[in-house]
Amino acid sequence: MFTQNIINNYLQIPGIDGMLLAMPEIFIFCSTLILMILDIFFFKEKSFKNTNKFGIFIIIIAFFLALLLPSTGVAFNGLYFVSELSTFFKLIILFSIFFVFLLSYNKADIEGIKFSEFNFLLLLSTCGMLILVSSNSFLTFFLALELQALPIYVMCALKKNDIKSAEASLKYFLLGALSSGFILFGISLIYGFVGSISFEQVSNISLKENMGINFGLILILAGVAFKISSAPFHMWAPDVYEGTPSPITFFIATAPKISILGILIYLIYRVFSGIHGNLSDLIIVLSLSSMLVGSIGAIVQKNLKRLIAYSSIAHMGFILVGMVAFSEKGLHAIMYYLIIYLFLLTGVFAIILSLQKDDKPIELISDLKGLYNDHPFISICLLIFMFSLAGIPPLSGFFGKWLVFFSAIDSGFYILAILGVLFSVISAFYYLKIIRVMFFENSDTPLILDGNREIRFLINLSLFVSVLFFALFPIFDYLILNIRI
Amino acid sequence: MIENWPILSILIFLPIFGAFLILLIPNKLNQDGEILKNSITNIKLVSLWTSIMTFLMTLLLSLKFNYTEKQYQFLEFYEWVPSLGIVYRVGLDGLSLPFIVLTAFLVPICILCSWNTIQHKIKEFMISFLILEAFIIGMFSALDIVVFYIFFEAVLIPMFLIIGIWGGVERIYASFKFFLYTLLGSVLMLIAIIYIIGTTGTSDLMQVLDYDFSKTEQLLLFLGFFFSFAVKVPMWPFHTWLPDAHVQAPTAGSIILAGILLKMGGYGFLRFSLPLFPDASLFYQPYIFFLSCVAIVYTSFVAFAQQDIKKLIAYSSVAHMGFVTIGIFCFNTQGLDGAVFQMVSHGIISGALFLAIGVIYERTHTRDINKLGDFATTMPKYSVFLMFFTLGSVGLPGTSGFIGEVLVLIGSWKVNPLVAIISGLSLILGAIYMLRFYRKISFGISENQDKYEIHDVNMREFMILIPLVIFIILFGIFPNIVLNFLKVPHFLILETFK
Repeated sequence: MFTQNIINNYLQIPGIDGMLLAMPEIFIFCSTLILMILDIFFFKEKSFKNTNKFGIFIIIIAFFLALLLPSTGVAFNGLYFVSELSTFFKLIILFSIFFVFLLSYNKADIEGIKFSEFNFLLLLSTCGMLILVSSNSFLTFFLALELQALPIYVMCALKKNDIKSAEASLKYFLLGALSSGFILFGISLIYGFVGSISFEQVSNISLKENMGINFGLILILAGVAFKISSAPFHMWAPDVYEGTPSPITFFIATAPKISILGILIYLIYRVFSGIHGNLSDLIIVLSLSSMLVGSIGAIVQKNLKRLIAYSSIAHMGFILVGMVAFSEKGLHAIMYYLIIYLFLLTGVFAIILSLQKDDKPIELISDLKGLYNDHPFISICLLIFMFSLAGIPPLSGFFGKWLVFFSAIDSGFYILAILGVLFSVISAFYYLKIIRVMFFENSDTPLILDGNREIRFLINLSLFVSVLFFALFPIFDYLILNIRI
Repeated sequence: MIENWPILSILIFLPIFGAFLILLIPNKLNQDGEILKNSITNIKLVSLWTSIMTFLMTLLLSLKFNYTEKQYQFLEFYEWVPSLGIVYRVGLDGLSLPFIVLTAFLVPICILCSWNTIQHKIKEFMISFLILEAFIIGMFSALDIVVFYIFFEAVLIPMFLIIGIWGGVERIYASFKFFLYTLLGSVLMLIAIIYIIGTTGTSDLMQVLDYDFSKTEQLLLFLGFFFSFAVKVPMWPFHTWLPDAHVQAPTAGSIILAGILLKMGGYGFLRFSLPLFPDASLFYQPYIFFLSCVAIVYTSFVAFAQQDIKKLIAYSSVAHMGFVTIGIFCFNTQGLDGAVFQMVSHGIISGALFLAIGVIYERTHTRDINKLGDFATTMPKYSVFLMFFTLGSVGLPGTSGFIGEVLVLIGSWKVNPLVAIISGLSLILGAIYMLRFYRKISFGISENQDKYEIHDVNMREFMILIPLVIFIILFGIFPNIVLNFLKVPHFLILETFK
C-alpha cells in the first residue's frame, strides 16, 4: 500500500502500475540478461557455479517481489492480471525453481550439464511460467507458453554426447510443438467465433451452444493435457524423463506442470465457467485415463525415472479430480496437492541424485538394492517418501489425496472418487516395490552416498514436510483458505 | 491435579517418545562391523521399560475409570483444521479401555519374546514395535473419524516392515498381500468417511452420532465401513491374507497381529457401524450371520488339514473371530458382551499360542506338525503351559475362552437358533483340531527329534508364559473384571436400536 501511495503521488508515469504488477517477471528477465554479460566477462573459471549462485539470488529476490508487491490488478491493456491465486502459483513455481538450482549446484558435473547456459535457460523459462499464470488474454497465454517451453527443449539436449538425451529432447520438442499447434488452432477457432482474444470478453459471452467454441476448447484442452502429461497424451513423458539428466527431469516434472495447471484452473473456473458441464466430462476422461495408465503402466517399469514418470501421470490424474469438482474445495485441494507433491518429488530426486553406483548415477530400481544396509537414514527417508506418495496416513501424501477426493465427493462425483481410491491402491504396489528393493534385498556392490550440503538440506526439508504435515496443516489451512479464484 | 493433564495423549505418545530415545542410542560398531553388545542391551531395555511404563499407565487409567459414567472419560479436545471440521478428540469409554489394556499388556510380552530371536536390525525392530503400539492405542482412543482413520491405516506401515524385514522365507509375498489387502479394504471406508463429513459438516464422532442418516445412505455407508473392518477381522471371503501374514511374521509380529490387529475390525463395528447405521446393521444381519457361520465351519475344517502349526492357529483365529461377528450382530446384551469378551480372551489365548509356537520354533526350527512330538517328556513344563492355552482355545469351562463363546451362543439363540446351533457345532470342531494338535505335539512320536537339542523353558520364557496363564484362568473364573466395563457402552449401543 505504501509503495502504491508513493507511486500514485510522485511518479505519474502512464503504465507504471502495470510495471509494478509485473515486477517479478521484469526483474528476472533483466537480471538474466545482465547475468549473461557478467558471465561472459567475469566468471571465467567457475562459470556454472557462479551463475547458479546468482540464479538463486535472483529467484529469492523475485520471490519477495511477488510476495510483497500489490497482489491484485490488471495491467497492459488487459493482457496481464495478478490475483491472489496467480501469486500463489508464482510463489510455488519460484520455490520449485529454487530447488532445481540447489539440486544442480554440485551435481551438474556428474550429470553432464555443467554449462552456464543451463542457468540462463532455467531463468528464462521461469520468466515464461510467471507470465503464463498471470496471462489474461490468449495472446499472452500462448507467448508465455512458448517462452517457458522453448528453453526446456534446449535444456533436455544439454547433455550433448548422450544419445538418450538427444532423443528425449527431440521427442519433447516435436510433441511439444505439435501440442502448441493444437492450442494455437483452438485459440484461432475461439477468436473466430467470439471476435476477441481477451479472457474477459470470452468469459462474458454465452458459449453453451456454440460448436466452434466448444471445438476450440477441446483442442486447447488436448494441448494442455500434452503439456501436463495427462493420459491419453502422456506418451512423451516416460522417454523424456528417462533420457534427461535428473535435475532437469525434476524441473520438467514440477515447475512447467504447476504453471500450466495454474492457467488451466483460471481457464476452467473463470473463463469457460459457463460451459463447465461440457468440460467436466472431458476432464473426467483425462483424469480416469491418467490414473489408469499411471498406475498400471508403472508396475512393469525397471528404470527408476520411468517409474516416476508414470507415477507423475497417476498423480496428475488425482489432481484433475480436484479440477472436475469445480468448487472452492477442489481449488484448495489442488493447491494443497501441488505443495505436497512438490516437496515429495524434491525429496525423491535429491535422494536419486545423491546416490551413485560404480561412479555413475543410479538408473534402475534394482540399483537401490541393499540401500538400507549401506545408508540407513537415506533409505528411511525414501521409505517415508514412498509411503507418502502412496497416500498412507499420517504422512503428507494422504492429506493431498484425501482433500482431492473430499472435493470430488462434495460435488457429487462418487464413482470418480471410488475409482480414484481403487487406482491409488494399485499404485501403492509399485511404491512398495521400491521399499522392498531397499529393505528386503541385499546387494554385493555398495552404493556410494555423495550428498552435499544443498542436497542434505533438501532431503531434510522434504522429510520435515512429509512427516509433520499434520502439524503444518492448520497453518496451510489459514494461508490457503482465503485464496479464491 | 492429574485430572487436568492430557493423560491419554501422553499415553499415546509415550511409546513414540521411547522410540525416539532408542533412535538416540548410538550404533557403535566394533572391529567386525557389528553393533556393540552394550548398546543392543540398552536398546532392548529402553523398549522394554517404555512398554512396561505404558502398561502401568493403562492400569492407572483403568483404576481411575468410572464404570457407571455414560460420557467418554479422559476427554481431550483440540481444534485441528477448522475449515474442514476436523478436531483432535480422544477419550475412553468402557469399550475401548479393555483393548488398550490388552495392547499395552501384549507389547512387553512381544518385546521379551523377541529378546534373543531377533538377531539383526534390533534397533529398527524395537522402534517399529513401539510406533505400532502408539498407533494402536491412538486408534482405540480416537473419537474423531478422521483421527481414527489416520491411526487405523498408519498401523500398516510398521506392520508391513515387521513382516517384510524380520519375517520368514516368503515374507515379501506375505507383507505385500497383507498391505494391499488391508489398504484396499480401508480406502472404501475413506470414501464413506468423506461422505459423512460432507453431509454432517464435522468429523467429530460425538456430533456425527446425533445425525440421522437416511436408509439408503446407511446401506451404502455401512458397506464402505464393512469392507475395511471385514478384512481386518477377517471375515470369511476376505481372510486369505491372514494365514500368509501369520506364517511369515516373526513370533512377536504374529502375537500382535492375532492379539490386537484382528480386534480392530470388531472394535470398528462396535464403535462406528452399529451406532451410526442401526437400520443398515439390522438389514445386513442375516448376511453377516451367513458369512460368520461359513467362517466358523469352513475354517475349522481347513485348520484340521494344516501341517504348519502357525497356519493351524491362524485358521482357528478366523473361526474364533466368526463368533465375534455373530455376537456383535445379535444386537442384545449377551451377544455384545460375548463378542467383546471373546475378542479380549482370543487376544490373550492366540497370543499365547503363537508365543508357545515361537518357543518350539526357536529350538527345532520347524513348524511342521509331523516333525514335532514328544514334548511331554522332553519339555514337561512347556507341555503344561501349552495345555492351558489349548484348552483355553477349545473353550473349556473355567478358561476365558468358554465365557465368550457361551455368551455369544446365548445371544444368538435369542435371535436365530439355527445360527446358534451351527456355531455351537464349531465348539466340537475346535476341540477336534486343537486336541489333535496337542496330542501330536506333546504325546506324538517325532521323526527326527534326536536332531535337536531340546531344553525346557528358561526363566525369561517362564516369566512371559505365567501371566498369560494367570489371565486365562482369571478371566475364566471372574469374567466380570471385563464385563463391568462393557455394561454402559453396550447399553448405549442397544439404545440406538430401540
